[in-house]
Amino acid sequence: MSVLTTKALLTAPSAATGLTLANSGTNWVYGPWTQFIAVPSSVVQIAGFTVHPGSWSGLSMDIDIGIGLAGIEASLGSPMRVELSNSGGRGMETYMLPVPIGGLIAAGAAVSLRQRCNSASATPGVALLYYYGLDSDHQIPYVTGAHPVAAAPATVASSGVAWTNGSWGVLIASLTNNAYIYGLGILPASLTGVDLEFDIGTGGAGSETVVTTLRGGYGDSATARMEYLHLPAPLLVVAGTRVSCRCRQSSATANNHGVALIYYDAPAPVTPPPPATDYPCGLTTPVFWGALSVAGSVVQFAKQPLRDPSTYYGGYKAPRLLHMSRINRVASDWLTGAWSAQTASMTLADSDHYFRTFPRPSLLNSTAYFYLESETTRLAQGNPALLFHGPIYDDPLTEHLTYTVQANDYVSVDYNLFKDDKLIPQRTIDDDFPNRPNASNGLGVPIIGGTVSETGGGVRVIDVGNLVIGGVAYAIGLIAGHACAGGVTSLYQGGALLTAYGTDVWAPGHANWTDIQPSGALYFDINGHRYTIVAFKNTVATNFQNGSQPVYANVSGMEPNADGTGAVITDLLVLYKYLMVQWLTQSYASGAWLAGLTFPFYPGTLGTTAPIVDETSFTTASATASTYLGGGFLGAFVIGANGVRKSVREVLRDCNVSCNVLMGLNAQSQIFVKMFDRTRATFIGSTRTLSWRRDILKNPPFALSRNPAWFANDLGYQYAANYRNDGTGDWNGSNSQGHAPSKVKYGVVTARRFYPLIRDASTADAVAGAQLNFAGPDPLRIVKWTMSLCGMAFDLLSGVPITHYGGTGANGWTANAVWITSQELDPSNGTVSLTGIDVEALLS
Amino acid sequence: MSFQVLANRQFASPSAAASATVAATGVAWTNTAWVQIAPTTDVVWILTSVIVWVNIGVSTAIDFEVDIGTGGIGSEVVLTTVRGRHSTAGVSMYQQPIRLPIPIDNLNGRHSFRLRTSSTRTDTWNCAITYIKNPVSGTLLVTRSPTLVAPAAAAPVTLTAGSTWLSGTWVQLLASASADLVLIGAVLSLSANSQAEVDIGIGAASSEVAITTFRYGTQTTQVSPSFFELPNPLDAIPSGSRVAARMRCSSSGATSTAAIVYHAKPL
Repeated sequence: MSVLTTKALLTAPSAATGLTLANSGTNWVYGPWTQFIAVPSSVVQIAGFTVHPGSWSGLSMDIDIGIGLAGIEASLGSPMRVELSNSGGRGMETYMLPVPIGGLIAAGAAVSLRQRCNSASATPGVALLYYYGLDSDHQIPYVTGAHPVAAAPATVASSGVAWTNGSWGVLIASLTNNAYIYGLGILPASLTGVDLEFDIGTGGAGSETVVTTLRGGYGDSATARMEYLHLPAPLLVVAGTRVSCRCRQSSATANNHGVALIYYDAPAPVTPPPPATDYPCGLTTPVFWGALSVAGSVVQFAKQPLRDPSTYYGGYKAPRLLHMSRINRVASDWLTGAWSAQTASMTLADSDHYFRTFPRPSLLNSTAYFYLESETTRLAQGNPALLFHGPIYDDPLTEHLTYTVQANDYVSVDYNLFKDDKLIPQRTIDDDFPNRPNASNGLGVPIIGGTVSETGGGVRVIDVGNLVIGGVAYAIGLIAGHACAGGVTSLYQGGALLTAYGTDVWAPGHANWTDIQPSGALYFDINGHRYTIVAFKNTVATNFQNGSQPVYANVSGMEPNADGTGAVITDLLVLYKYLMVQWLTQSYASGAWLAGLTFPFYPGTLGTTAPIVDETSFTTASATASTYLGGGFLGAFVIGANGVRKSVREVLRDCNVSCNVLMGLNAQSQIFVKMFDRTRATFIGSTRTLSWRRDILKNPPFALSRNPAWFANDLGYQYAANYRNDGTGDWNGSNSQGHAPSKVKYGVVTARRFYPLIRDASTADAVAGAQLNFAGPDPLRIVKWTMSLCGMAFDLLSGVPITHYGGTGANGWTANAVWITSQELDPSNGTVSLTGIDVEALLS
Repeated sequence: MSFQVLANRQFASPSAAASATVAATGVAWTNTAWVQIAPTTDVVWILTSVIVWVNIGVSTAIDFEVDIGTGGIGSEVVLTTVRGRHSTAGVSMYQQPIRLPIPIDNLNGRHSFRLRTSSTRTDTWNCAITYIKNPVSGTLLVTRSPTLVAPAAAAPVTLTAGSTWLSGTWVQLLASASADLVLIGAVLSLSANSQAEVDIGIGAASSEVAITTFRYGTQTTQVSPSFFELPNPLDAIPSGSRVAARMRCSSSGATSTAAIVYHAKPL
């Protein structure tokens, strides 16, 4: 996707006079909501509005967006500021946001507007401008804002001397959040025939620095209806910054201009509130409740009516919750790396046909939240624990007038046995390359991590046809869907190094690249998609395009700056993090690397959000890797080599096995990874010992078993995948290791592993060694036990010592180390079932 | 999802100085000479908007086009073309720049503008530009494909609404798109104190299909530049398409002038 769209701009009401936004009767107090879209046919993105008619003079007005069903609208807190000089004057009545607001309005959400302004009587007629299902990356997941807030614009004075700067006027003393500034709203002084420039500056008083400049001009009077100046694209200014404005003009007059800063507000993700201190071990009166975020509204339920004040997590919870399913967190499989879908469901009473007559026929892709707290905490208005949350995958109208919603984790929501999984790379070769050959059409755009280098070139360059650049036609070869560190290292054709840069070959990082990319940037953006490409002419081009002599590249992949100027990322766990954040849970397009997705702790307006991916866990795993191999594990790979795409679950599997980690959902419902840490003090930390006397329930009984499937003491492994597609095999590296004592004890048990993300022998040997020494000495024991709700204190993939008479040895276990690989809460009886691996013998 | 962001500072040219000016030729749709805006650029610039204004009141609306060009005297090359309309009430407002949602790369060295209007008046017009400097620090899509207008160097088409809020007939803007086109906006001007919608459509006569809709209105008089920009340029006009427009309005039978501004692909 790109800034472009194929979708039509729409209006509401359509083919009808605009709707009046009532005035509250008090300056700068919002009036009531007016609904503009009752039943949207797709997800709505807000593009702007028109104002007509009305009666005012010098009006500053915020138009706010509300979502949800009529009567229970929830404000997005998104005042779109306009300055309207004179309703009797002339001018534009259409206000278009420079970037549509997308991603904040749930599928099916009804949309309403309301207004506040510096008049107690102005009642503008308004039409909403919007898109349905905007197929463009150019939409912003942040609300709009204006400074000054709910007040007339700030005064910015000209100096009285032509083209001499006036003094700085403060627009905001300190930005609360990061702001993407998109321009200025302006109520100009009454001037004629004047040119005018506004500087936006940042910094303390007396040391302002100009960050951008806007310019406009006057005709014969300033009696317009709508005044603004927009930047070419939003400009990021970080939280805490003081923002001011000054002007200069062609006339030698001293004038006061009203100026408001208009921006998109980008709050930093906020760590969700921790559960109350009695969670989970002090929970004697557990209260389970759930919430559904539907069409922008929140509907919530418990087993008994919870008459909470409206300020406490949405207030009243209706008594509809008949059953909350077991909430299961399971780690990826140690052997295969496969990660099963994590799900939870609620069955709700519908005897009054509440859901059967709901304004939405299905809640698919709405979000479900599952909470637990004690009655004591609830009465004290403390924080509940979020047990699970995720998109609703299925919502059948079940028997006996009940209704069930099933939520999946964010990876699994796209997964169905009977339909295509999400394929990686998500971006394919299509219209960005209009002259692509049929053979390349629809192939994946490769993602490269680390340094992929082989004699004669390690990566086969994909033919994407000709492009005319600067009036010259070139044969274009595609290497990656992002910038590569330093550009392209080298290119080979027919086994020979290509050197004729500027005549036959052009590549980023080599001579004459500016013929292709005048700015010298190491990447090429096409329709908002970033690529690493190379260009050919003459015989090199002919042989490349007719397939007689493919071109191969040695290249270093992703780097931190996303423009090729940084050092290549080689840390395997850091590369896995980039894959997870940029390519699996999102789809990077161009520019800076994407910030990770976040989710709200509660779907209302508490404003606390958490990252969907726990990025810190990858850093921790990287540190653990250095205990297996000095300097840590190195990664190098191409995902989408030769255009081949894999399902997201296959990629996760490859990552988990190659990185020697398990993955899962942690107690905050975040995706995380964990590498087994062999140091007992680190593995156990301060976790208290569980004992059969105090913690472990009699039923279901504590049980030990073996997992023979994981056992192997003779491990063969392959790495350094061959991306050349030259018929010489799939792998360039292989080795094997054995565990001699185990072979003596159990005989030779052979297994084979594949490490698609590894190219160097040292890392492959270290990962294989780690896996051999984990499951090779003896068949691993799996332990299962059950606890009260206190079991929720022991997170997935954490280490816990257990004392139990049923353990191995003459006296059973005493503080025996176990690695927890699944945790299942049963709300029906308040028990938690846990599964773990006995790792006592593996610790030192 | 990755919206466009830009870390580059925007600048104006001329900077801290009056706009470049030129007197209209007095002959409809006849170019003025090129007038220098600034003699040099320090690096290659990227054009982000064009500000055009004139300090007059007129009794007949003036449609105008401005070419921005680069090159030495006598060898200027058109980099891009913008279009606007100056209403019958005169230019009586703070001038909105004609913002280019896909900025134009390669503003290199001396740059100038020239003007042509629908009028036989010889008023003095003002022109300035805003720009950013290469390289782009951010995700802003830029292009060397110029903006084009239709109708070009000619009066806009006139659309007539049907009965209240009923669409009038389609009026052709382009007989056949020379390439795949990306629509960035339209120049629309309404005759009555009304609210209106204009559909842009493609397809043969009598079988047009609307591909997007502009909504606008006029309180007293809508004035220059009357340019309505799409937040997301519309990539929905295949090569060879006939492009047309129609309108509907809160005033039965009202009229509106219409022209479109677009890029030809590849961008």
